[in-house]
Amino acid sequence: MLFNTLDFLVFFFIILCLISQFKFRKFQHLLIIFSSIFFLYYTDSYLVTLLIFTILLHFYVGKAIYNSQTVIRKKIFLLIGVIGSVGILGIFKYADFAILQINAFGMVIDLNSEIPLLNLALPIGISFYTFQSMSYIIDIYRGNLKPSKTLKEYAFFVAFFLPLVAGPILRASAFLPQLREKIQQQGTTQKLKLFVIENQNLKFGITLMSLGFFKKMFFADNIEPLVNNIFSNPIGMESFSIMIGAIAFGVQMYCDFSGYSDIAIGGAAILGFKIPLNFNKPFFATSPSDYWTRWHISLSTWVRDYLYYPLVFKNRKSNSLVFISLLISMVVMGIWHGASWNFLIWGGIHGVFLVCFTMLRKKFPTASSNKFFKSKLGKIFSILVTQYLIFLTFIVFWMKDLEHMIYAVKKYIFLDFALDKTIDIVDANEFPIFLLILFGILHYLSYRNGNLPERLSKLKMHHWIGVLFVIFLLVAIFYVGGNREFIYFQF
Amino acid sequence: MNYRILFLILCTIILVSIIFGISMTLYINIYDPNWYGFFSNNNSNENLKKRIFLIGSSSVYPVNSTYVNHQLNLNEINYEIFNLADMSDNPKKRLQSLSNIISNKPDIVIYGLDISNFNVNVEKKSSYDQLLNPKNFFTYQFDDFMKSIQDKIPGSPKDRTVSTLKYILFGPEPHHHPFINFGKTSITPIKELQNFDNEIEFLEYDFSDNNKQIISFKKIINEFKNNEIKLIVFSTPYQKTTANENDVKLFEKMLEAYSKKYDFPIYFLHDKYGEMEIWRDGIHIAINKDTQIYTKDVLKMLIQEAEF
Amino acid sequence: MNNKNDLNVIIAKVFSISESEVNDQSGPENIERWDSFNGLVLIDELESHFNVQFSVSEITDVETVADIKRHLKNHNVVLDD
Repeated sequence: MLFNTLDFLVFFFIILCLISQFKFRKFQHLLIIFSSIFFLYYTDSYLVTLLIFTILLHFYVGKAIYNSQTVIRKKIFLLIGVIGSVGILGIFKYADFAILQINAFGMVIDLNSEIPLLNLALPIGISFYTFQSMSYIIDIYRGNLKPSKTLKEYAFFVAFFLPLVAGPILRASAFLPQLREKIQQQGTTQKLKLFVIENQNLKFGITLMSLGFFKKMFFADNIEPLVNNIFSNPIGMESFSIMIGAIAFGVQMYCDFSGYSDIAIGGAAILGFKIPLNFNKPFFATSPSDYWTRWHISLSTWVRDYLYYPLVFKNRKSNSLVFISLLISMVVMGIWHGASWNFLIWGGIHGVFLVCFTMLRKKFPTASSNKFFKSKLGKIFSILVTQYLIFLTFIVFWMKDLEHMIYAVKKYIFLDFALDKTIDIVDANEFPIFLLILFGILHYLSYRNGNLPERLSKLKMHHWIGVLFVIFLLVAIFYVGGNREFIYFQF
Repeated sequence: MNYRILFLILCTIILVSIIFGISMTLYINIYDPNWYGFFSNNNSNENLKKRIFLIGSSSVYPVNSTYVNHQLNLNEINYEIFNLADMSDNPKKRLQSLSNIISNKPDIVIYGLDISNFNVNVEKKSSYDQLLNPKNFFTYQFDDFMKSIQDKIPGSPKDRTVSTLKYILFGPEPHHHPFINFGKTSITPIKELQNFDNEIEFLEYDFSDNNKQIISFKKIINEFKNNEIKLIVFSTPYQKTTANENDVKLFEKMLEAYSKKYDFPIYFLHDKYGEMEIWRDGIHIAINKDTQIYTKDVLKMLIQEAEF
Repeated sequence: MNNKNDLNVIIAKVFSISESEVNDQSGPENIERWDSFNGLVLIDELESHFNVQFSVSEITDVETVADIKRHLKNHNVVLDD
């Protein structure tokens, strides 16, 4: 079920009504668990069994790790859990990619047979809930987390429908305590809490969800045609057109992805859960390193804690091992996005940027305290250089065709200063260009004025409703609709 | 849960829905080819040429009215054609803005009718299919309600909003294709189109008076007749269709019957270009200098019937 | 020797902020320069200053300065109040 559909709005509204009307703990918890499974089943049908399998596997593996007396036994159970997750992810997401590469290699060495593709459907949300589950068992293994006592609690954590499909990737250590409350009278017995929908949470949650819909449906969906116009066949495009395409795609990705995250975080807030931000003004990052503390934070911190730190920790005195660990981590981050060479290259490029930046920091450790970089001009300079590099990577992220990718990247780096075709493109895409400018202005104002959703939710009721009215109206009248580009199959 | 907040949200949603509904139908109901917008240098309000309106869905859009107008000019025929094709148009939708069309006093209306307008889309899925596809199950339950809403709003509200704003500020743009503006599209080879064969399912069609589209079509014919507007009808071309052979024959029979009964000429273009490499997709001819045959055929039928 | 003070000085130096900005709630979410690179630099500085060795579990279990203090206490580092 996608968030930007009537189906989801009706579904969510029904859940909230039932939760507020029936204040029985067991009912509420089971309602969320079964509706989460239904939520996935709605679009994924039988593939929901993978979610159920993941829940059962990691719940019991987590318990087994915790109860194991020796390190070797803990390691074995951890391995079972990780192989189980990675195995499912590997088969459904990456098997056909691997088969294609093997077949391609076979053609090169004149092997006359081909391995047939599996053509498996990609289960929705699998990249998110497998990573979420893996963090649970790894934290138990590390001694940083006690396992869930009940399957109900663990199932709630993994299957919770709001972050299930597109994140943020939750950490059990942050989420489970929110789910539990201590019953003082009976000592420290922990029970799952009763959900009470409080006014301020309701207002904040609705505000954040509305802003999420606004970012996705007003900005992202309406900028997409501009990106497609430029990137679907970039050969022959001028440098400035490529740059516009890169910026447009970056903004589209941000609005789409952060919009989704906002809807998930806002919806969870209504139910009383605090889920950390997944995006924190990434277009104001002052370095590649800073960028990854601002973009898809739940994934970058996951890769940092479960891949980068374990790789680098014992070898951090060796520069080359630190750099290799960075590269590996970023390539894995790239592949996580999809089974395609361009994602691998994208991750690799980010890895190279991070390595170069780390080298610079090691070579010039006091540079960040330099007067220039601390000044406003220095900050602007850092932001512009960083964003120039970041938008380059968006080109690679979009383009699966290698020839197109190389052409576009060359044009982005080696400017031709031609303008004729660019002016035509701008003329033919006035509305998306207008939206890019509008986004820039609103985003800057939001950056300067701090936590916008919080401030909006604290407005007086009639002002708040006025803001929502404008958002809903803009979303409705600028809704792109089911018809995209020129594909009008009505079959 | 605070019911006051929910109540206010509900009121907001209702208000937005009303404004949305009005804004989606505004343009097509106020359209006037003489309107040049608030910010235009063109002050010519009177156009001495007689009008020809070409109506239908996006299948009609590829008819190049600039080319037709050029040919009419060359032959000193004092007529001007406007391609008023609208996305996802069907007789029921078009009926809602018919009074505006008539108020603009066209001499001739050419109506390109899609066979697909008349499918009743009854999906008879087994319980097993419904179990495996719960989304389809739920959407099927509310199909009638959703269709009645979809009939009232354009396929792309954003395109409609942008063109409405442009119309109010700068007049219809482009002048002779006011409701849809695609620019050029490229030709897709028929071989590639045939790769989609597995996805076609034949749908059920109904050409009887039980079908609301047929009732609307008859009302349109009558309105034009009562206002003495000459009507020419043609069936729009397709490369693929969800109608089986039998339904196509019934479609032709229906049009022939109405043509006789209501005295308007009918032309069949639906199966004329199936083998030609002029298609963008299964139901749209590409907008391209190599696909002029469609425009030329419409021009031919116009010259034949219009008695210039 | 004031270990608590030393801790604040180290944190301020690594992240190029003033000591007054360091408190128990400080962490990657509110200190701009706290990224994985500076995180490792911080670990090096703390290990060499307090003569301790952290494990991977400990460094991945840090969200705030309060967590750092907790881990230092587990390594028998006394933080004066």
